[in-house]
Amino acid sequence: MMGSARGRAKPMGSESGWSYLAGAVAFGLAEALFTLWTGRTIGITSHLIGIPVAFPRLSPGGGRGELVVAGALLVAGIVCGAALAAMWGGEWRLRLPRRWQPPALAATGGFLMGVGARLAPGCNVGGVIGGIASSSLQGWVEGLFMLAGALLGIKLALRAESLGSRHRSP
Amino acid sequence: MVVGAGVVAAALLLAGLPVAAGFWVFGFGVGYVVQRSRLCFVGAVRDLLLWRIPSLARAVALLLAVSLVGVAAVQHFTGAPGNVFPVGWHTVVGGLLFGLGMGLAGSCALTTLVRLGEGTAVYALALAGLVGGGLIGLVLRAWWTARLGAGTVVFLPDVLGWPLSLLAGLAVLGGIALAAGLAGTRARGRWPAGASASRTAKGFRAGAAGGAG
Amino acid sequence: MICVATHYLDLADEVCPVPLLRVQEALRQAAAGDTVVARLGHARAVRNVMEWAEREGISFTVRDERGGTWQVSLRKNGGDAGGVRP
Repeated sequence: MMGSARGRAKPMGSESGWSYLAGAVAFGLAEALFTLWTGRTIGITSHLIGIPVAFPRLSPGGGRGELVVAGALLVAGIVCGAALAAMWGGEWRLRLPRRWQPPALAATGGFLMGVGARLAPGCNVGGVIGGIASSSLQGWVEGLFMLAGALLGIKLALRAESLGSRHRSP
Repeated sequence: MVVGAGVVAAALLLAGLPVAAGFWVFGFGVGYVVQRSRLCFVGAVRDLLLWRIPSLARAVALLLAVSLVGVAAVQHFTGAPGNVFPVGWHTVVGGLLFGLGMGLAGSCALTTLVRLGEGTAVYALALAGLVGGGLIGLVLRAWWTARLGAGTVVFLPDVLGWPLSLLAGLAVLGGIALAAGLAGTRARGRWPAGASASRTAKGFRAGAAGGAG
Repeated sequence: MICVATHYLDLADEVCPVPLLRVQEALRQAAAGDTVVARLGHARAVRNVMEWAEREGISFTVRDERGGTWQVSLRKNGGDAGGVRP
């Protein structure tokens, strides 16, 4: 019964983004370039709470203060770069949540990410991508358990949105 | 806005903060790339789990492979340390917590920032959570290190040598990409394919005997 | 004579994974030949729906409304070709 007339549909129209693979290669090259410049791979979460991350290749003139400012500017740059990309693509729009579940999930998830990132240490970028790229066992271990946590988190999010059981009793 | 970004970079350079200027430009580039390419690390897991769509998982495997080769070359030829952190039970617990948070929020720290830039307001709450959780995590980390130890640094090339370490890493990443692709080709037509979602399909078609998993 | 209906979904303020799940739900409930028109508000969600529909052989069109919304129309194929399991 299945699969008789199944094939690739001819899509008409699209959204204007790059392919995932192009983004993946660009990001990987950025990691290498950043490491060449600073001596470390890209990290995010420590900059979010103002930790003065020391980079072995850099000698900042302003000392710890400049390191905190630099980290904050990395974060601000990501937000602004994404905003510019969205505006150029004609897709910037203020999107406000209409239900209570997404805000609750975002706040809870963000909090857990914050705690986990300090413990592991590192987020999926500084800890897992940076760790694996740096041939550090920590990156692989964190990645494995992050995957396990994400599987659970995705299921829980579906349950919270009651998307998993909507039609169980029609 | 490009002009604005350039002005900020120039001002930082003039203020004698070249590192800050460089970080600003770098962050800008990363935000641009991730917004344009729609990369999503939660999506890589979710697309496979719920719908057996492998493209994002394969892209993440490629991202890791390119990063691994690129950073390994930089480490090997220039002596840059990279991010080599100690591994231990804190890594297990921290990874699980971060993963759980990612799954719940539907974003990671990076994509939280990117989507905030796109104008999606709900991720401001994820950012607030990241900051609050991060401050509490700092305390927890200090407690953990004092009570349970800081773990051990394991730099794989020290253990396996560079060739084997690189080869093993690329083999695992290749395996992930391959497994994702196989999961994708096997499950076409079974939607939704996730365990909880397949119960949905069954329940909706009351009386359908066959499971959809 | 077969009646063909169009079902509209406004998902512009929903984030992943809700959009694709709602589109699937609407297609499941639609009759063969019906069209589901979903208004999506995130490029990621658009790509998500496109990738899935392409794999399932569901014909669709995407219109970029410029301004952060996209309109995706999906047609539920006749028979089992729409990917619906009997």
